[in-house]
Amino acid sequence: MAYTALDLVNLALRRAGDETQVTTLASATDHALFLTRALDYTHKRICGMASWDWLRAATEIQLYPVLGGTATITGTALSSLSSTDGTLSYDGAADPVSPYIGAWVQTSSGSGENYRITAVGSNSACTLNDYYGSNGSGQTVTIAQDGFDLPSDFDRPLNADSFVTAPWAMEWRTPEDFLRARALYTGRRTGLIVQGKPQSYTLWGINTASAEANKRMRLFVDPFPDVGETVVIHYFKKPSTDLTSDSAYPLIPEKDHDVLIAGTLYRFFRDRLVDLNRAGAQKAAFVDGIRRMLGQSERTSDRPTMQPTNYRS
Amino acid sequence: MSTTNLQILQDACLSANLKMPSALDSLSARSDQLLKMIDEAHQAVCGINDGYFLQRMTQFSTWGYASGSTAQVTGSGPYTVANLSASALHSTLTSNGKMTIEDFSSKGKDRDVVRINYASGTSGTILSPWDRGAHAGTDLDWVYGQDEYDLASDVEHVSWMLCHRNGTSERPIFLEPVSLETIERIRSNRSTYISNAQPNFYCVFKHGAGPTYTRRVMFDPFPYRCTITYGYMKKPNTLYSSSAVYLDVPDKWVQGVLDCALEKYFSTYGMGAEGGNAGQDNPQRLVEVRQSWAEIQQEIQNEARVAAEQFRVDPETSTRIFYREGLGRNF
Repeated sequence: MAYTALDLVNLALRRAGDETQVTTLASATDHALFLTRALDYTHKRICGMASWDWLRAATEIQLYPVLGGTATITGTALSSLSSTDGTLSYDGAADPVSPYIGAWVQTSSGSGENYRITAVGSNSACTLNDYYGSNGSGQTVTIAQDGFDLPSDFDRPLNADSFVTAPWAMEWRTPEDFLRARALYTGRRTGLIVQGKPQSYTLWGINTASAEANKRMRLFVDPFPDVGETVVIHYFKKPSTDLTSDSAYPLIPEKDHDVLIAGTLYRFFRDRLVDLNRAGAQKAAFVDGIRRMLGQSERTSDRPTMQPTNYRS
Repeated sequence: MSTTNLQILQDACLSANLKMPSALDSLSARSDQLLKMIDEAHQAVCGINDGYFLQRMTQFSTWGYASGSTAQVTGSGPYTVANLSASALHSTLTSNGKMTIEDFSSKGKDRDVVRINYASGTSGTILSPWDRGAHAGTDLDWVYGQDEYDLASDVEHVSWMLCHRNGTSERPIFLEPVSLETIERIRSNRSTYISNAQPNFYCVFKHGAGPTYTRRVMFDPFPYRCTITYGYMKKPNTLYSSSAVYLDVPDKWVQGVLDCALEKYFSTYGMGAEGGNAGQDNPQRLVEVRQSWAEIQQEIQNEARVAAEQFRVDPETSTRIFYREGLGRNF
């Protein structure tokens, strides 16, 4: 049975020679506080160290379709969007959130310029980064989104070839290859907004106001989805909660909890008690434990592994 | 679930045996120094490679080419080129607009390019040396184009640039990064220096001074009015601040920032016992901290290698080049 963060801190306290146990991490001080924080850092570090089999995860990503319709445009404000394909799906929060932020917009006015949506104010209204066409109502607009948020616990893709699965074929491309394929000279593409079933994908970072989201990436697909289908992604996850609340569980399997404790105690002896002999012993245990963990692999691992040939039979 | 400057400072203080601060606006001298070292360490970790966590994307608009035949030149130095067409110049123009003005002094200078600064929508201050004097008439041919634009203030370096249009005469373009020399060679080999079209090339060639060192990009041909979208690596946040700032470094590597800062602190101030008896100087401890920091650097650098092993080993060479040469992300 897995230990909670509270269990692990008390375990570390005992191993540190401290008889006093804590009943909650919320009010931990001194040694317990240091150990709690060191435990959390060590947990995150171990999870990011390698492509652990136990961090593999899968989830679904909702694609959003190209919206074709009419709208009123005044300055950079687009309003009264009318489309049979859907809405901007504004969620009504104080900080506007919409799957169409960052989407490309093309209008019937002008010379085919593409603009981008910088904010969404309602299901039928948004703000463009700029607008050079004429103002007025009833303008034909095409709104196309190609970037879709990944889950908050996404760390990195499982691999390039099987990261995204869909009932149809999708191919990984590097960001540069992906973008070049949309261009005239390299992709023979005469227009940006081409609709259809997405056939290729890539990843790029996003910028939002949220500190955590700033470290996340987005899935970009091409062509722009003509309907709002769902694709499945496979990835290595990262801890999505801090290991500082009493009932939080580490992602590391039970059998390797001792590695987590050793890594935590190493920092405690090194920086809190300044007992380098004991720190050295814990460091050795930590390194040995990591080696042991690296040597373990599931029979169905996605990591490069050496297997007896009869595994394949 | 993201680490702030206060959180990591608290952890560093616990490690350095300093009193743990509860706020950033009332730090002791040593805690303040430690926060500076954390900021330096954070910059160092972000500088190891083009981490995915530094990727950003944004856009800006260019301002179109303009020309006419009714300009005049007024003043006596600095001179002003006036009576341009309505809204020919835009207020974002900052000493980098380029203009050719018909030579009214018969000195054969009708092909030289002068830099101008925005004065109004219909006039600009001539910044370049100008020995033709003033011209009262309103009959000079002029051509204006703005090929230089400031990038976002947090741009460290650019990864890619796009100019996407759907018009009948314009197309989606993936702009090619070229050197400044190449841009100037292209321009010198055509009949018109200020030639306007959809841009094909870009060069990030100028870093502004001051606290932001804003990067500046140059396009060629001189662009139409269009939206440029670009991807870039951002500069790390400044953690030496009296208000809460989030680390850019992912949580899995925050220990690296901590160890790097502690190494700086111990090697500068020693392991003094401000908060108790536990902080005696111990050379072995400094070695341990250095080693721990080196190990985490290795983990950061190895991440690309670990992932690269999972990419297929076929002639998809562009994938590896893209990720290994610092042009893109490293997973």
